[in-house]
Amino acid sequence: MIRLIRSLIGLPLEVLGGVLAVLGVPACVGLLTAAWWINGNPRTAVRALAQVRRHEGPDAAREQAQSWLARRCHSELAAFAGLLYLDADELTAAEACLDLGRQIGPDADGNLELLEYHLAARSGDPTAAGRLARQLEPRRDLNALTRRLVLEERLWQELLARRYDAAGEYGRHLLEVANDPQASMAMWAVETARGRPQRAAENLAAATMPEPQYSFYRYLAATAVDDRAAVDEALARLGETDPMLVQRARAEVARQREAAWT
Amino acid sequence: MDLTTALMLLPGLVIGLSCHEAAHALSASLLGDDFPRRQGRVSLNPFRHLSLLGTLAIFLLPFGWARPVQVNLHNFRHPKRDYLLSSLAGPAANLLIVAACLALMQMTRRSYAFGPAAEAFLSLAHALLTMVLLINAILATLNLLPLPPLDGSKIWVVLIPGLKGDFPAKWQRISILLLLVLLWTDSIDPVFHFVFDTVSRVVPEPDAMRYEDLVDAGRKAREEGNTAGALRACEEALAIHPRGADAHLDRALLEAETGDPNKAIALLDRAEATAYLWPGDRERLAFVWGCALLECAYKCVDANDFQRAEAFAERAVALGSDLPAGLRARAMARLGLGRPDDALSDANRAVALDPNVPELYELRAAIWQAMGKPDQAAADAAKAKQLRARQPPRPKPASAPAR
Repeated sequence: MIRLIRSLIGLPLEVLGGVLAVLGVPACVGLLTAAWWINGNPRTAVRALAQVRRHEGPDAAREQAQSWLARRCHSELAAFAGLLYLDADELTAAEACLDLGRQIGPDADGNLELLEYHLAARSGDPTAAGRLARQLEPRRDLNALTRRLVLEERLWQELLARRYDAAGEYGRHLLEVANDPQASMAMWAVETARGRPQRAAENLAAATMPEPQYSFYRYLAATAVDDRAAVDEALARLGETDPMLVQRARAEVARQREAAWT
Repeated sequence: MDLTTALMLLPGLVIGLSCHEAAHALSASLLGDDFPRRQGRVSLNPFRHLSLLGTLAIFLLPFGWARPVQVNLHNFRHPKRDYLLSSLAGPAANLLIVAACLALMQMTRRSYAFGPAAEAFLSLAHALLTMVLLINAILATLNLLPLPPLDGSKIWVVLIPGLKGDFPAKWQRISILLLLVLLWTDSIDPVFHFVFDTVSRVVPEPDAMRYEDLVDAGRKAREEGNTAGALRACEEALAIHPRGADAHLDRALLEAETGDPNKAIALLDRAEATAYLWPGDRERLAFVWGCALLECAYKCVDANDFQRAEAFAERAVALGSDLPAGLRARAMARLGLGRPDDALSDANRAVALDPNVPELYELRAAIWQAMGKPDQAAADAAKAKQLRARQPPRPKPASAPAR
């Protein structure tokens, strides 16, 4: 009952704050913050933090998140704070947020798993993300973003291990849900391997990404089907943009292949 | 929207929206997506589904909304097909509620079958079920419109090749605006009319309404002089509601007017014993009873059975519903029995109560004549003539027997 009364009191502030947020008015920060103090709903806090980040910058958002976490601990808030630290490459703080979130309990929005996956991908262990993707794959309660990342990871693992049918299944699934340039690029490789140039070309046309992502994933896909010309072309383009990217692309292939077999 | 209407809509909307969203969540979970379960949406608890703003909107707008269930298409085994199925589960839940309401209404419509104590409860339950049914029928129909973000729009994902799991955000925004314009300009009214027409055809008519209609039809037939039709309507009304005071009284009145007044009295006896009478009904019962007794008395006078006529008139006078008419009937009977003094006493009382009725002066003139007093008889006859000349011809009373 008290929660309902608090929600009712906070509602006008939340609605007004939401409208101002859509319109891009900075005053939405104060309104959403006030609404969060009144209703105590962690989702309102996450909305407010997103607006703090937008209007006052990531540093202010992290600071705010830390101060709110110290006063009112919610797993949703911990997960969002962790993602903010991740953006700033403060991996230790992000890990602390993940631990805190796990201690409190699962968050309804599924951001703890997203944070966990990103932390695994950025850890020094090249196989960590792949292993985590395999662990998370059977789970059906992940949010859309985490699930997509897991499926994409598994798609590249299977493709670079040259298990084209399995990779094709992941690609078909991803493309059935939404336009996914990474999946389209992978499906180019799958269709090429299956000897279907027409479909391969269609998928390649759908794989619209800006450089250097395009060349990066083109390199991965071409490597999977041993298309030397495409590999050389992609590496040349990556080298033109940034020579370090060539190393990263080669390392990615090695990482995915290792993950596929471990 | 006024508060009463909003409060009438509220149960239907709370039940409809909660079941609608719970059905989306449950079907998504069954089809492989446990994200709604994680968010606590696989529940019939309205607080898990209702949006505070959407609920408050019910009091301002003619509609409300709940928090949409977030499904993760990546979790489905067959994203497009399963998304469509989980989307259709919401309207299907509303249609199930409609079916459940129809089944329950088969019981609540029989408001007279469970005794007077249950009558008011069943009538209220029937009215509430009608609202719940109507709102759920509207929710199901409206959500099946193929406009994003309504559930029916998911059909396009299956029908149009190349269209992905969800509409692009730009299309969604345009569609929401279009939907609001349609609602605002009442352009969507044909859909509502279709729902109203269909619902009014399938909703079982409550016995109370049928009973009222039959009683009204009977009274109209009686006014039009269609006695057979009026009797038939009364009989049908009594078959539905054997304790119905109106039907009992109308039936007795008809019998008193056109049939056997003794039977009318018997019917009234039965009505008093069995009918559920409100205070107003008791007054009507007394009135009809008086009419029936008077009719019996007059018929006995016509048949020169003055003894019985006096007995009937005596009861009518004791009932006192139309005292001048009762006294007149008794005076006629007493005159017939050769007791003009008693008859004169009744006639004088009747004239004192209602001095503008020419029939009373005519009766008293006859009594004076029988007593051998022609002067007084002539004076009363003249008075009667004078009153008749002054008054327009009196219409036949609607609920009293004509003489």
